[in-house]
Amino acid sequence: MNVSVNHENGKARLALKGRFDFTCHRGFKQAYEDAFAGVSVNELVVDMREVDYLDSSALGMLLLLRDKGKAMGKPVSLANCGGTVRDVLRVANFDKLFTLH
Amino acid sequence: MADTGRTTVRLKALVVEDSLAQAQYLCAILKGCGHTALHAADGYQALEIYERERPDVVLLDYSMPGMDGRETALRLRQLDPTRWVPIWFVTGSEDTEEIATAIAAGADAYIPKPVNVAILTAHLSNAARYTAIQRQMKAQNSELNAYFEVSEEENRAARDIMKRLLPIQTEHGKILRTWNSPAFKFSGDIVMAERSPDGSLKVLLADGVGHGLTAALNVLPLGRAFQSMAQKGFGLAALVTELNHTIRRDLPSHRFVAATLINIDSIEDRIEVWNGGNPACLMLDSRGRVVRQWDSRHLPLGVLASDEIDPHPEFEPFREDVQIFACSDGLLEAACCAGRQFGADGLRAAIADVPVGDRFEAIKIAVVEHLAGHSATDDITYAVIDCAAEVRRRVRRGMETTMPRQNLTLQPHVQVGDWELRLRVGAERLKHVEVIPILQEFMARFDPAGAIDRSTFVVLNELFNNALEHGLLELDSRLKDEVNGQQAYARERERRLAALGDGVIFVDIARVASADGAKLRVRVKDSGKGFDLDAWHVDANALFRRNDRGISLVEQLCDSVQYRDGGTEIEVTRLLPSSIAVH
Repeated sequence: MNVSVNHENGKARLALKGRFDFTCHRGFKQAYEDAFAGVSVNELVVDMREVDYLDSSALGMLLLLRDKGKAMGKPVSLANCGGTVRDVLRVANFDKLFTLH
Repeated sequence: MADTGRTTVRLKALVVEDSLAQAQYLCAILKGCGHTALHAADGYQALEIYERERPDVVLLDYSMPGMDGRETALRLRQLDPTRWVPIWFVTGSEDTEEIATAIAAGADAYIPKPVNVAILTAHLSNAARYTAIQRQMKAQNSELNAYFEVSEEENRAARDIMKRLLPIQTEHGKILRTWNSPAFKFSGDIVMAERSPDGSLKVLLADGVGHGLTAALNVLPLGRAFQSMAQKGFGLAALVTELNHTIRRDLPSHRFVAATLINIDSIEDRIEVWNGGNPACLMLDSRGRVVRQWDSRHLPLGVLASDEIDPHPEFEPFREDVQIFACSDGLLEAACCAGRQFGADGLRAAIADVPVGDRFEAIKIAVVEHLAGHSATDDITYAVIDCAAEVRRRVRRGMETTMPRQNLTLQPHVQVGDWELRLRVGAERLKHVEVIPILQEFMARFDPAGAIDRSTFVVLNELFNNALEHGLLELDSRLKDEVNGQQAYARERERRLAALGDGVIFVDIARVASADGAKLRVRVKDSGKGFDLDAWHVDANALFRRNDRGISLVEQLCDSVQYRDGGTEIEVTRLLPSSIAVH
């Protein structure tokens, strides 16, 4: 999986590409920790547009991210969840935990 | 810089040479470079020394009497096929054809006679480097092997521990059938089943985050918690809350477990399902059609704090002609080589028009065919509960409980009247505490035989719920008769209980003496308004109406039933099973 980050108006946008599964743990964590470390960042959006698949480990990583965001008082939301991604999030009822754009 | 040939690796060289002078010359060069030299005078001796000494390099005279160099080289290679040992031909011939034959026979280099010290030293230096690498690889390899063996041993131990903590259950054989196919050595999916004291069958299908050992560790804490809660007779909501708490207490924060909990409730005669994060749980009719579907309405266990989750299951009246199907996402996501998933469609196709008895196998066959040898990336698990088999079990049990009493005689030496328990519970505790399992635990200490008896539990449960639901909450059982009545009744019960301002239930349980032997006497009284005894009893006597199953069971199971104080108190007695023996 690839993670690219861009910033706009205090919002860090993590665009993920490819399979989001247990192999991405380190890269994903590094990416959001770096993003949160930015002084001007007060919100984080995970863009799922180019994610082909996510498994339960990915859901676990999203939970960690959510906890981190909560602890720092910076809201986390998910964007462009379609197809398989939306199905997986819905079965796990993650729409109750995250704002989905 | 000139290579002196002196290296840190000390080679063991075998010189095969029929000329003693030539042999001594070569050995001197080898020793001069810091290596060890062994001498064989002919091919036969060479094989013998080679086998014993396992040298790192062989210098072989091509033209020897007896077994010649070519033949010797071939046989040396056969002797040691797994190790790469350089064989160098030493020959005076300049015949290119002979040299080619030597190389074809397995020679790694050709050293012309008379042997030039510089050339030999250079060759030795190369060989030393290769040998160093080879020795290092061998060491790493054996380290890897040792690691592998330790790891295998640990795996075996882990599997054994898991088997003990999450036992595979076979006693539910015809009622519950399960299939689990782990993607790795360990499964992160489990299915467990347990009978509650009232005879209800509780099933848990759980899928831990990730795969392999870490996923298996995630579901491990659930086993004991599920078993003990179900055995004590806690309801599904209490089970969900406890399992959620267990995961949050025992696992790191990002670890969670998708879970489907099913209760085939034999008293309320309904099927209860709570699904957090698993694919839809299905009710299949006799033709394999989905007649009811329980989608995942909750977050997986362990995500939310225990006071944030909604632990209440959804119900459906029990039906004899259905099967309940539950699975982990691994089944639906099982992908063939082309990446196409088995999916809900694959599942429906596999069971459509398949006779009830063949369905379990049909799903297995369909998914194995779909995978077509491609290995699944996630654990695959599914469970099928057969309601007709459950009914057959109930009928068998029912016959046991209504066994004619004249076949029973008393054991002569029974001590009676040794204990009594009185309990008063107010509205606040009634909202948060499940009283019956606590009484059950208490009884297990005082009258073990009585406590494990399913009928005692049924009686206690019915009397207590009657006092709570009808006495204090003033619920009308007829509500259950309406469409979706079970659900509506449960919602109304929940709403009224939450709003209950005051109210008390008294329970008095005692072991008492009687002419027939030791009996259990249970009195339950509530602070409610009571009811019209005559009208109620007429209704209760309509034995086969589903909603009155509870009270009719009480009447069947007890020796005496008395109503007092305008219906606010019920007293029953029941012969303790510890004091009866079957002839």
